[in-house]
Amino acid sequence: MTAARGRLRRIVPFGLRTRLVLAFLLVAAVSAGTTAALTYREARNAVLVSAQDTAVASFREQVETLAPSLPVDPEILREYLYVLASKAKPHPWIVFAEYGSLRVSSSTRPTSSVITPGLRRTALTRSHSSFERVVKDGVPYLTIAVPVLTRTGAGDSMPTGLVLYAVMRMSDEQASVDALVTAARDGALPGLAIALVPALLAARGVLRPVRELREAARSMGSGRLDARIKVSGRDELADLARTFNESAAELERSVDELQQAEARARRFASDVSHELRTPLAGMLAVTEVLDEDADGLDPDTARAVRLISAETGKLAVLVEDLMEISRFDARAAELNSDEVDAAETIRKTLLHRHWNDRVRTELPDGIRARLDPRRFDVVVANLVGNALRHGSEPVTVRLGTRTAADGTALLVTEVTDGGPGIRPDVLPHIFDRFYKADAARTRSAGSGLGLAITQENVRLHGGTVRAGNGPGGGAVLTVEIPLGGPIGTDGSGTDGSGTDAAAGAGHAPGAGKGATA
Amino acid sequence: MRARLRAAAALAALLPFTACGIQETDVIGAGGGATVDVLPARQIRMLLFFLSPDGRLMPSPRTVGGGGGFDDGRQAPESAVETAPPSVEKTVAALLGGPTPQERRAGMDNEPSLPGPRTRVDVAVSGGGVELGLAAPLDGLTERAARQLVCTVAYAESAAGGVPVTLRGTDGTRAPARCDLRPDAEPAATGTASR
Amino acid sequence: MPRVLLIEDDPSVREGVELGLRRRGHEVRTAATGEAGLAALRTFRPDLLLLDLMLPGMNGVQVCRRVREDSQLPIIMLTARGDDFDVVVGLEAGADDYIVKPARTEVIDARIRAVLRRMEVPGSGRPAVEFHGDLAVDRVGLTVAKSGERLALAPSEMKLLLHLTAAPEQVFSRQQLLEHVWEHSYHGDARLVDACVRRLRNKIEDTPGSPRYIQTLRGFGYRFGPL
Repeated sequence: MTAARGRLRRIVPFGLRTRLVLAFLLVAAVSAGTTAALTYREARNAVLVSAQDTAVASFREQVETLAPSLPVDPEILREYLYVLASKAKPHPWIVFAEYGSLRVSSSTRPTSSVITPGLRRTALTRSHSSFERVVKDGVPYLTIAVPVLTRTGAGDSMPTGLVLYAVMRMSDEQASVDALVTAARDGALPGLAIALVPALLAARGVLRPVRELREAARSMGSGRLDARIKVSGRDELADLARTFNESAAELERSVDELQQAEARARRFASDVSHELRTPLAGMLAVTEVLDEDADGLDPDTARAVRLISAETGKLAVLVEDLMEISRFDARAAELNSDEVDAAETIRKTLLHRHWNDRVRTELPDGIRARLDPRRFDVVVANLVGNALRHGSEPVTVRLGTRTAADGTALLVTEVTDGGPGIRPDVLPHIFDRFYKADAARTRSAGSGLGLAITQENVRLHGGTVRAGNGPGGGAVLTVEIPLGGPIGTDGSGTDGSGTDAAAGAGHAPGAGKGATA
Repeated sequence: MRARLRAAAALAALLPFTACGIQETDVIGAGGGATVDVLPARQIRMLLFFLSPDGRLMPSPRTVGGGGGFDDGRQAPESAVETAPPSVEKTVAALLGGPTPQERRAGMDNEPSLPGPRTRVDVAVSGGGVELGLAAPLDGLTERAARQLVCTVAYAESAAGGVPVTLRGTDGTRAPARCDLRPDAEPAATGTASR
Repeated sequence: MPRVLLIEDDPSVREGVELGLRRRGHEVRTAATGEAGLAALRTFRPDLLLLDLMLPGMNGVQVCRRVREDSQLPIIMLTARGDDFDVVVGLEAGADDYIVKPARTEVIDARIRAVLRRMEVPGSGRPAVEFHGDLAVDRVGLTVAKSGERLALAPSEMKLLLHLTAAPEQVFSRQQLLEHVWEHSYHGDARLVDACVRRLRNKIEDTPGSPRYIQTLRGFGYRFGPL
């Protein structure tokens, strides 16, 4: 659970959260930027307009105080310009005058490189003042042109041909504007940083239902079909959650029905075997009577009687196996574990079934394992019986240990035969119930459940069983079960022989320990 | 779709940083020019219109002095005070006499096609207009020269310079014209003469 | 030949087992219910009781308890595999062994004989009565007394005690005990041993919770002593 939480908290590079936050920040940035830009522009224009208007008005005012005599004498005009230059407002300016071909200024240079031909033409051809902002070498200048007019009569005037120019550096304005940019930037960046907080909150708000959905989906995936999401609100996510809940309920209902049907089928099989068992108990008790007395009957009756006797025995085995499988299906099978000597357990199995001279063994002594002797006996007996029936001799049982990847010490039991091996198309199915590898061989000595029961027994031990073919061609069935019993039940492991790491080499059990057979 | 979105986002992000600092502007009008009183005062001057180096009319007021005149009246008398305005004939004669050195220093000059300084002129006021007779042909007279004459005559006849002026030469008469000092009305091409 | 009382409610099983055992020479009396069986017990006086666990009315476990109240009659339960809980309860109630139905007559016969078989008399040189702590074990008379008071031990309990005391301080695995005391296969049900040990401890130990005579060696099995 904690691992799942950790995964939730991880920031996916371009996940939904990142994109939401980015989108939010983008909107915040655009609005902050636009506001800043508009404010900046207004403020800048206000600064500039104020400076320009002041300059133009005051320049014209200054010029109007003049009373030049025409035609203008350059020396006198220069004196005028000095006066005008000294009364600069709001910033110092240099004054230039043009009169016919005369060029006079308040500075050392008679003409200015800042005054554009456009401004000059406007000043000469129109009788009104004008100004132009010029940036030269990164320095902004305000250039003002005022044509000098003179009155000709009542309210009428004519240009005298004299034009005065003022050139003013706008350094202060530039400083103010630069300060505005800085202020806008310094205001917008913290604003963006602060916007990150609501962005994260909003992303969380949107993502919480998504996260709940994911957790619910995951818990459904892990089998908890009753997982539901709390539906709140009426948005699209709420619709999604509602749909999810409906689907989950439907799924739960279907699965429930399936499980009930399966349980009914299993109970039926179990009930049938139960019911068969009572008559079989009576029949099996008297088969001996039939066998003994068959000799005294006429041959046909004797054959019939022997057939009934033999089939009754097989039927009893089949019913017993069916009962066993039913118990596995109902999870009613219990493991009665005991710590035993593995080699002795296998030897006793072979001895009990009189297989000890038909089966070769490589059973190193001293391997103690925690297992259910009765179930392990069934496992070994089924594997060896299967090898003897379907393969051909020599059948070999090897015992060994190895260490699994996760460090668990495993008891490895391997049964091989000298037959042709298992066909590849059969291999995946040999642990299936009633699977017949050969359609022609309708029935064999076994019930058809032997390997399935073997597999269930191995699983009950927390182990695995594999089928394959050896390099020599014969079938190899390998059972691996934890030496200490199923994981979770702590085996006592009083002697450590089973945890020999060198035995980890052992797909060929016993090979690493020296053959003892 | 995605690319367009991204471009829009980039544009939006750039917006605050465009148009930073102080930009250049076009030429912007800002009210009238500066109207001043010029010397010499109206009562004691005659107004002559010469051409500036770039071909525009430039007014040049000259103080009217006694004895100033035709032969060598180039020096503007200073002390003489005459209450009556000078006659139109005198004024035209002064114009045809050409600019003084002082005026010449400011680049003023006569249009070369104007008749010479000794040309006889006569003026006749009839109805609302003035007719200027020149003892010279008008044939070679350029439009600029004509305007020099028209404006000088108009402002000599009336203070506001609003009367129509008809030019008559030895070879005919031109249509009446008014002095138009508005610089906008100035013909752009300097060398165009109308015949 | 042993006299066997079979209490079994199902007629076919009852008849089949009776037929099979009689053919093998047993004298068999049958009863269909627990109550009838208890009544037959007094009149028939069998050597051994074959008891079906699933009986209508009074069930097999109750019958078993009732028998054990005043008798050490050998009892073998008939049970179906999977009725694990009943097996454990039946063994705790005092049954000596159990047989899973369906079973061939030869299996039932072998089990009967095993239960009835006496432990071999120890070789000469051993005294008839051995003393282990407060226990006096008479191997010939098959009696056990604790502090002079005779104990009533069921056949399996007696045999287990005799087997363990024959080799004091020797460890026997449960599989070995199954083979030698019950004559089961090595892979038989070790719960037989555990149940029998519990019953025996209840009778011979001073405090069954911390046994002195029959000690458990985890992972290996049981041993008698050391005292």
